[in-house]
Amino acid sequence: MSTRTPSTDFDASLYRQASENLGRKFPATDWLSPLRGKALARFSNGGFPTIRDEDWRYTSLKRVARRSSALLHPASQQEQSAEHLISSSDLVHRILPGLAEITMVFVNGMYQPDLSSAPAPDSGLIISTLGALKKEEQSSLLARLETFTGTDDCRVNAFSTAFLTDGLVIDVLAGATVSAPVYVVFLNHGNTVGSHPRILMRLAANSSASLVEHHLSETDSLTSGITQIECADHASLTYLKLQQEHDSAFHLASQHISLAKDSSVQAINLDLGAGLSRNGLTVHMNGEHAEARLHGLFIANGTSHIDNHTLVEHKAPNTQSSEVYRGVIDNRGRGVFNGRIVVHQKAQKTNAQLTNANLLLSPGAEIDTKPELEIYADDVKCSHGSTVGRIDNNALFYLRARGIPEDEAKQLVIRAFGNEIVMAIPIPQLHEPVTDLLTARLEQSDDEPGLSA
Amino acid sequence: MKLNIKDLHVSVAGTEILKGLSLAVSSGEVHAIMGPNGSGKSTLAHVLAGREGYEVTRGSISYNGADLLDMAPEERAWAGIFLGFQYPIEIPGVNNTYFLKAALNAKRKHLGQPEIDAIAFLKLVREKSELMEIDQKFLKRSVNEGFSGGEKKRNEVFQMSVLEPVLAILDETDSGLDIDALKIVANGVNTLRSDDRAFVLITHYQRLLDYIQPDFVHVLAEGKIVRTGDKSLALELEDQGYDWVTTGT
Ligand SMILES: Nc1ncnc2c1ncn2[C@@H]1O[C@H](COP(=O)(O)OP(=O)(O)O)[C@@H](O)[C@H]1O
Ligand SMILES: [Mg+2]
Repeated sequence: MSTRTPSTDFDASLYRQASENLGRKFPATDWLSPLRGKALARFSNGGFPTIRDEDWRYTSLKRVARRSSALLHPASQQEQSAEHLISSSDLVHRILPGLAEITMVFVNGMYQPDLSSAPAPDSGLIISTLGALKKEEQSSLLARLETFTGTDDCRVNAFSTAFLTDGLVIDVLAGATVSAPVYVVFLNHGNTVGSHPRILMRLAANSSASLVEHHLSETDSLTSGITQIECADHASLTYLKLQQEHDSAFHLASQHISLAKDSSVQAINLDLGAGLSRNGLTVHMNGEHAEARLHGLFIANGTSHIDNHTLVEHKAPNTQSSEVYRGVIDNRGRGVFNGRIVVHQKAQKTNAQLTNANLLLSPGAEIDTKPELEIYADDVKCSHGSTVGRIDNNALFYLRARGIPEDEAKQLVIRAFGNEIVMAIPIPQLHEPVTDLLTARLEQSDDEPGLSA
Repeated sequence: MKLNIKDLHVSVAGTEILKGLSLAVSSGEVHAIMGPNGSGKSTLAHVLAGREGYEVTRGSISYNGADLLDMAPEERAWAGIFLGFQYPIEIPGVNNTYFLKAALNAKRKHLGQPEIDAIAFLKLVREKSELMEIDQKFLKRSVNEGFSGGEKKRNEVFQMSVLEPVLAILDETDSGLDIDALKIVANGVNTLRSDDRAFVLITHYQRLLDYIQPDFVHVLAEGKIVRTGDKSLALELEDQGYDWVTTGT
């Protein structure tokens, strides 16, 4: 690894202190201290990526770098407690209904048993938090926790790992079909808090399970989370990530999904919040006949900046991926989409499709979209494309000619554009509540008349 | 209802399409407008419905005494004007039934009426969809998405029968229909025919007029009404082609 010039606003000693403090503050995860130290050293070699890094060209982390040292310190024990949260915040009311069976709630990065409901013993699932692991289980996890922190383009992951305080380890037993989704809620509560959560999930052979990851915050906070999911042969995963952070919050997240032979994932990524959000999703199609269906929707209004980078690696023959991402950008919002498909030489008979469609709703809105195909095999079917457009005037006229007023007609068309992604969520009880969230998010655009077209 | 179009001149992208068209329509009447391709029939329909991109350079349109050209498309709809599109628009993600309900309620809201009761709405939709022989599964699909040409046209007439307009303009609703579908569409129109409602049927073929008896037949050519008569005019046109009426204009 080369030595880089650290970015401006970078004070390594502040980070070191904060990271070292974690061990004393949270004795239950003191076993993570050596891992944090190593990750911090990696992060410190360069600090946050800058727009000179190709992968970060359109997303500057300057604001994050400037604020991050203030956002590192976990909130006090009192602020993190369930009682405090319930008495002082409406965040708990934003926990989605309909997923109560298995709910794991984290407040400011720490697990809250009082707000959670663990799965029944015979559910086919084993869930543990990092803080509750037995000593003999800890050491085997260290390598997994370190996996995505090593290379130069993983400095944000290294950052997250340097401040890791708690997380979930989810194991789905071989052959188990778990119908209730595992609902994981990360709440950032109070001012200047940071949370750096981790989910490690494994689906054993022939199992199926759903994971819903939901991020909520109420003021400026920093989330840097990592989700790692491994699907063994014939496993089937449903994964929904719902990001609803506060308008001034920073959200940096990455997901790494690996698929063995005949396994499949259906993933939906919804970005409905945050001042700055960067989501990196990588799917490794390692086994023959693996299948990935990916959907995403991002709504950037106000002055928010939402960046989605996806990477699908076809590494085995007969693998299939399809990806549909949509963006709605209003006011002075900014969207970034970079979707890459790599078909390795071995991956003959790959079928891969990728589309990104964007609606720009005001003159100040911006989108940078770049679908990329890299193909090293010769017998493949691949397509990719992106569009940037405004609302279809023909559709508007049709609706108005039937008596629907112009504003309502616009809302209807925009909502429909986003709702097609919501309807792709394979958990039907979420369609209605998530549609409501989408509608509420779109209505926020109207709150800033000076900014709208 | 009284629609009065006087000396209407309309340009599209700088080209004059309608060149002094006059037409008066009153309640209870059915007018057929026939004419060769490109003569300006859809232009007239779009101008009546308020589509953007049409510049009225001369003339006037009054609707019940009001200046129609001053009204937004939705205001025209609330005032009872309905356009059946020659090429109905697909609206992905907007459910057909939801769309109809929104349209119906928008008008009711404008009239100061409460939203339609859910059960009454379902009953209305069932009744009208049976009349138009529209499969229930179409109602759950997105507006016009994946519909065949004929299904789109039937959907237009279905919408018309739910919205019960005062002035319905049907732009080539008969084109591309087989004889069975044509009969269904004609039945939809005939069922709605009444003394307080008027129809303007834009058509290319006299075939439709075998099923819907018009009071007047107009020939539109080169941006003007060049001939007006009764149903026999349509039959003559069928026999002799448009050249017969357009020569010498
Ligand atoms: N949006 C448009 N831009 C330019 N020319 C148009 C447009 N719409 C119609 N036209 C032209 O106007 C003329 C009349 O078209 P239209 O009203 O559609 O005729 P009809 O419905 O009788 O076939 C045609 O020559 C057509 O090419
Ligand atoms: Mg036409």
